[in-house]
Amino acid sequence: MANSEDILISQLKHGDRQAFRTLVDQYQGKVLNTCYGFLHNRQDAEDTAQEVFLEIFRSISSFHESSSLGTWIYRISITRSLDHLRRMKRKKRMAVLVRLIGREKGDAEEPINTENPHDQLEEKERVLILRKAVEKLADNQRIAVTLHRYQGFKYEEIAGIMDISMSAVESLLHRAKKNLQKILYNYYAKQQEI
Amino acid sequence: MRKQKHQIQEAVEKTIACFDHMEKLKPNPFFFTRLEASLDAQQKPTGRLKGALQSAWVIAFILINIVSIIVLSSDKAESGTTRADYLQEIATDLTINQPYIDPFEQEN
Repeated sequence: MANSEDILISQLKHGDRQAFRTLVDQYQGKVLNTCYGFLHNRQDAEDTAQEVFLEIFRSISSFHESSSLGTWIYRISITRSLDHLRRMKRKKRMAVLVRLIGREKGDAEEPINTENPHDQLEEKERVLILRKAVEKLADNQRIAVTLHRYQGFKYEEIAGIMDISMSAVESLLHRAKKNLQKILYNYYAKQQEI
Repeated sequence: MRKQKHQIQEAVEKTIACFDHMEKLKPNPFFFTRLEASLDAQQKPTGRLKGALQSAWVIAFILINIVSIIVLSSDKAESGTTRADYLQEIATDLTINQPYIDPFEQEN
């Protein structure tokens, strides 16, 4: 007997809009927050989540059910988010270049303002510092950390999404934690020197 | 020095603990409406675009034919008059159509 996910997939493959709505209702929160975990900007996360669902609707016929529907959706979310990040980085590099050759005054990088820590909310500032540190991690460590710490995915789910073993996930998270500690230690040490 | 190291370590731990109170986004209530509009917009233009392209091709084909006919016929008419004018000009320059005067002929 086919389960509800199989029925939903079959309806989606026939272009059923009602089934698509059910899918969006079911996954939009997690997709949005997965994108937000990488992009840290509501508007960018919403735009990327829209792109994710449009891609799902367009390419559901190529979904072969070798993994679960959820895993497939989160993979698309991660790929789209990383693509968006790369596009943004390219844009930033261009903005820096343009500024260097003096054509335009750009806002290339959002700096971490730590000049007056007392004027700012400490918590917000720490979150910002943490995000910047996560951005410095290698791609696979960043994906594992974002899925585990921001989104609360279990090791098993992360293994499915990243298509690696559970022990590989554990190792990635362990290395990510060590690297984060190192990055943050260096950051705060520098701050104390200043 | 040791105190400084301890302070840094404390800051690192506090920062890593921020993972637990990360902001979670609530989905926008108009998320699906916007998504549906994008789907419709993506599906509609293909039909419209096809029709527009087909009529554009027909119009371009007719226009090319009309322009070719006009250009060719005007070329023919123009080349007829200019050729005659050109011959006349050459004849005038070479004084072919003027009465011949022999410079050695003695006057009576």
